[in-house]
Amino acid sequence: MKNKKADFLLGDGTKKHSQWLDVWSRLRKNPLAMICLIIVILLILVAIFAPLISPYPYAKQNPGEKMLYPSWQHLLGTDNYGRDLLSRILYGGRISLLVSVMAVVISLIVGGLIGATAGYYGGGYDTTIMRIMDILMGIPSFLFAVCISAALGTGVVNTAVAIAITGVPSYARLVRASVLSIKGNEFIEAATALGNTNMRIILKHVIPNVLSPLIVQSTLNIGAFIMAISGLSFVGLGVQPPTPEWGSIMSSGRQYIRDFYPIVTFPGVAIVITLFAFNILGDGLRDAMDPKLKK
Amino acid sequence: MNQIDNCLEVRNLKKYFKTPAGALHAVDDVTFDIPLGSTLGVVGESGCGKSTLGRVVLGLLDATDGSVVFQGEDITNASKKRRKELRTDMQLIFQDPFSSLDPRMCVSDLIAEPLHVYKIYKSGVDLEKRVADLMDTVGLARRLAYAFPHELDGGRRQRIGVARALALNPKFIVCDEPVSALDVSIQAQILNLLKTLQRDLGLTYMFITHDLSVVKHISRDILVMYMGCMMEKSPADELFEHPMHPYTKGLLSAIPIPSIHVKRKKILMKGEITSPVEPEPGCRFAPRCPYATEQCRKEMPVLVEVTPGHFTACHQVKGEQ
Repeated sequence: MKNKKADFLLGDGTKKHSQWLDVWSRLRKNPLAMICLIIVILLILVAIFAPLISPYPYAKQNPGEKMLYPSWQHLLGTDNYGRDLLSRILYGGRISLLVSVMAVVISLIVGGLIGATAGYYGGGYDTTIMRIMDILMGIPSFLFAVCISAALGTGVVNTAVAIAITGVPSYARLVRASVLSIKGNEFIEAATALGNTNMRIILKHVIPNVLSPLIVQSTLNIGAFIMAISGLSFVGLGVQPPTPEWGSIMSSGRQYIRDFYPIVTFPGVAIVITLFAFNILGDGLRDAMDPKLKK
Repeated sequence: MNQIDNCLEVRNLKKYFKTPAGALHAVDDVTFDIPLGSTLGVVGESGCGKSTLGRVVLGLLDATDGSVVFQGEDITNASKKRRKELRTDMQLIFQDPFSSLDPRMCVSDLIAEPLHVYKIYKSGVDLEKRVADLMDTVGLARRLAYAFPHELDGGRRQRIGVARALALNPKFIVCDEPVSALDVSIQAQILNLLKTLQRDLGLTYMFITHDLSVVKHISRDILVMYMGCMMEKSPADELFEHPMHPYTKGLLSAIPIPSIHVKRKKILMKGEITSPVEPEPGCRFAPRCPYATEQCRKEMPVLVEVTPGHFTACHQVKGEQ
């Protein structure tokens, strides 16, 4: 592949040299990351097609089939209202994934912008913004999420916003620190000397260099946010029953944990698989995006 | 002024930085010309304002006072738009080839960057051809086109820096200590490359360095700076044979001679550089000068042409005449 590109430089081909293609080819060499990528894609597909693949409606109660252990009828058993656990978990993935990804995207954009401008412009603006972020960080994030959620009301979007706001300060700090360390490099001055505009410098030089800590932070956050959503659902905010959500399914089965394991265990396994897949994929992506690790 | 002999004319250039303690005189009243196709070496110790001078000349920093005339055009207060256009004519080679190249860009992207910024080529093939030409010009093997900077040694990295500076066909290049981060053997390669390019492309250089043996190798004229002020300016050979300013003499006596038989009196400079923030009146070098008198401490010496082409700013040199 490398040789093919070199030929182009000699002036005979038309192949466009793409950075993302390089990242992809490096990621492909990492089997663990590829497995996790497949799992993530499967999770997304399952979430999208939940209505088609669920064997039962998620809210259908059946008092005659309460708390059944896994069988061919109910692959993962039923809960304390006789609802099919597999269906509830499949549907629950929708909420968990959607809300946590939404929350990560919101906090990444808001926190990233705050941090990047603070780092780039510095001065009083930086000080003011970062002290506000410090204050936000000083509030325990769960308490904070509960307050915002209580103020905004329940529902998918409001829950995502509530969780996202708790994630903003850490993104702002991370991006600011990265921008500061990149800004001091001579290649930024070199880019200015070549006549680059500020925007081009931010897009072409600053962002690619701060991306890897952001990717890692984001994949970790997806896991943390799934837990936070569960927490909110547990205290009665967040997603409302009967809408299934992994955390709320688990909390509803909490009282039966000694006698009947499926209600707590299977959603827990789903959360663990999701967390592992996102975290390892994030690590793999970070490595793939670093040209220094190229073999 | 029908014929423009000088590529660059700098008159009484000043650059002060505001600090909490007062104005930092980074560049103070510097005047020089660089004729087309020649090289001016700027010598001085760390922190004497050499790099700042280079940045102000290029317009990367605003001058506090004075003027910079490039090819007959006063560019001191050029508009933002004009500044950007001027970048195609005036370029900069950086000191550290390790930090001045974006670690996430491969060699061909790095060299192509200035061409992208100015949208010189519409088609990708033309662009790649130009990159290939540039790589040939600076002596980089084409197989390295998709290598990343961290995979290359310092000399090759600096060749990338040179290729980037050359990409827009500039007429004038400020070389900001381009070899000080390199091994001696590689220094020679890069210096020879710069000399060859100057001959072939008719480039004009302002060569900033703290290494006198390097500056002797490459410059036609030499400017010696100390704490932002000009101490001495003269053709290179003349400066090495007849240094006039005590500071220059001290610098020259510090160049190692590769022979154990040559006995030489070293002029040791005592003390440290005084603060460039709100400097006291008088010669900047006076606190460390072995010949300093009361006059030196009170009155700033002006630059005088002692012999044709050889300028120096020292009360004592005048006294000798």
